[in-house]
Amino acid sequence: MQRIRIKYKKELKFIGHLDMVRLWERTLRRTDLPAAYSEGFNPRQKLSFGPPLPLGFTSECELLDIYLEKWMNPEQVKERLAGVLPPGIEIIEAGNIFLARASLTAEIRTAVYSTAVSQDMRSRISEILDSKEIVVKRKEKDVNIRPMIKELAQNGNILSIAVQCDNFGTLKASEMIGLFKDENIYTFRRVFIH
Amino acid sequence: MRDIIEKILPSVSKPGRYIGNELNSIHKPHEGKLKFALAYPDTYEIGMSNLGLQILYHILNRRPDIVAERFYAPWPDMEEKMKENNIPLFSLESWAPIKDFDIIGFSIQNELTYTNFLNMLRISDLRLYRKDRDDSHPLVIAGGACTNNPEPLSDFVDAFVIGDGEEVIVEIADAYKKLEGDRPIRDQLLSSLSKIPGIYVPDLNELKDVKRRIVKDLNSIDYPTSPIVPFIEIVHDRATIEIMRGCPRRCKFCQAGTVNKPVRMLKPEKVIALAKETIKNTGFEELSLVSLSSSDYPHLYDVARELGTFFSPKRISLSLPSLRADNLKEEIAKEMLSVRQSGFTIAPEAGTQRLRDHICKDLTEEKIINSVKTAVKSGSNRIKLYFMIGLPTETDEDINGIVDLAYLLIKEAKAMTSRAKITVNVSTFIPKKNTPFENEKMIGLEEIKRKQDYLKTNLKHKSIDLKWHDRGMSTIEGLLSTGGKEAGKVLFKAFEAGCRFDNWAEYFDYSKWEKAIAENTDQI
Ligand code: SF4
Repeated sequence: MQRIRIKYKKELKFIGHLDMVRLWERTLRRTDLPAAYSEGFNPRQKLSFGPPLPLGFTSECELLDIYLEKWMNPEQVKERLAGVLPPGIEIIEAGNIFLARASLTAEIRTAVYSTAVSQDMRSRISEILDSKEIVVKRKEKDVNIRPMIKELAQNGNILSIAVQCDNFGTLKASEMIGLFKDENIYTFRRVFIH
Repeated sequence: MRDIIEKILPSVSKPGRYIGNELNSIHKPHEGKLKFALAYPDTYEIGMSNLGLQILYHILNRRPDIVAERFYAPWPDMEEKMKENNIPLFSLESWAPIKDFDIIGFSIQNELTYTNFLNMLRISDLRLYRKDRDDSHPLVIAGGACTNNPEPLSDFVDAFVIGDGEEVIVEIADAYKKLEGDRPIRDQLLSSLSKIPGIYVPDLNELKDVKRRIVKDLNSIDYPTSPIVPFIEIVHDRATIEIMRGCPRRCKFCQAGTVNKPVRMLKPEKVIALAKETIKNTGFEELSLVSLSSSDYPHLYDVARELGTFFSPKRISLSLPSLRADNLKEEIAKEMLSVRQSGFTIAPEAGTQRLRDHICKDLTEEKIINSVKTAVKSGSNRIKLYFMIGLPTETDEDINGIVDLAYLLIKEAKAMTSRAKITVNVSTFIPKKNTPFENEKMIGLEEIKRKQDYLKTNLKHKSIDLKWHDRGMSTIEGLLSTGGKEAGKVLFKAFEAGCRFDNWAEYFDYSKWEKAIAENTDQI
């Protein structure tokens, strides 16, 4: 079995994570690549995804691992997939990785987002960074999201924020947008995950 | 407009409904082309599941001189945002307003979408009554199952297509193009349409003179093998091939079976070729062979076997939604399950043999029991039974027959596997137009309730799941599918009172309809 990691751009803003899973399964099925399937009554393609991208966001760094039954040149895999992808999804690179390597969800800890702003956000940024606690409600429970914000800065007209996104905690899109209390900030682009 | 829409979308439910750009959707410049809007008066997920519209989309867009784009009913939260921002109904392909199109073709498959149809005109800033529209407005046509009884919509729709749409839609486009000017003179256009067989133009021809359009050879249809692959999950989220049109049986209540004559079939080799090609172009994980009664398709076994072999390496499942288990061969059942089971359907429709004979449902108790056994033997534990209440000549004995039959069947099934489960679906008989029962009466609201209550009280079993149609919805469906122009007046009143999405339990409001009916009777 071969494991290939694919990095792709996603311009489709309003297609959620489960829809993306289906999209990739169908994309793979449109090729004649030897996709690996799970066992059982309801076999599914073996695919594993990085942290879900919030609805309404775009990304230039989505990650996905696909598994093939037979070895193929990753460049060739990239080419075949690119030929049948719907508009709005574009593969940046494809490469082999070790089968035994940890899953994407276990590996990825941080996501960096950015958005264009026309106004000076620096005072709000300092306010956020200086606060010890930012409390939001999650299902009736108070959660302090301040520790989930790792970096936040404005450079020219680009606002960038690095947030936690792992099995121990993920800053939600609505919470991230809510931080800025500004109706012109309603979407972000994911620019980096690591 | 695009900017505003993008800003609205994050705040509405299921924004993926409105963005278009799906794989295999077709985008063409509008310049110099006939612009054809294809509209379905329900949500994206339901409208996109309609096979007929996918076929028409493909047939129209194959023509270099025509551009066809899709429109669905926005969900109320989206509609509200659109209103706030002055955005009219827009197409999924170019996000252009429907008003910019030359012809709007509505696919109307269900009476409970009529208020949505009116609403789609309203939010497009188009006049609802055809007499109020002029040469500057698009032509509004309607086709689909509901045109069996077009009169309730005849004050709103300019022309109806009665019967199969695949050929006539092109003739409509050609008639339009033949006339002079950007927007031809309405009267001339309507008069030329009224001469096309299968088209009913209210006021210009008599409904009784309109002969139903039939595509003689199903194999001649330019069938789309690259249907649109939706991004979001839709109701029938799979590839679909229509293997047969019409039904060889003659159930007296059945409109689809009665009007779609003769029975026409797709050649088995064509089914296989289309199926393979469609899977290649879409990547769907499931392919469905549809018809009114798939087990009556004579080559079903051969086709299922061949497709099964082809599909299994890619784990594609084959489904036959209208598989009647009564004449199902065991081999077919097995073949289906080797891919994935989709559950079995048996439609006795009536609880006693007397009533089944009366409605010409060709099923004996023995046959029904045998089909349950076939289904269970081939590994299916879920069996769906379909019944109707309110059938002509029905008595309480027949209602009780439903209870007895369901108990008998669960006993038989349980004897084979303890995991057997039966769902009993109960709908209400509507004397649909153009059927042998068209002059029969539909039972009233109270009588529906009495019969449903009887079933609810007497059909209690932990392995039987009883489901019934909302009686208010059935009553309105009955009114609109059997009524004449006066039903259109009620429709308009109900629409003005705010009725929308009537086939959605969360929006259906019978009291508004009741009021509209009462007001209308007052006037007469
Ligand atoms: S078998 Fe089904 S489709 Fe055929 S006539 Fe009877 S009810 Fe209609």
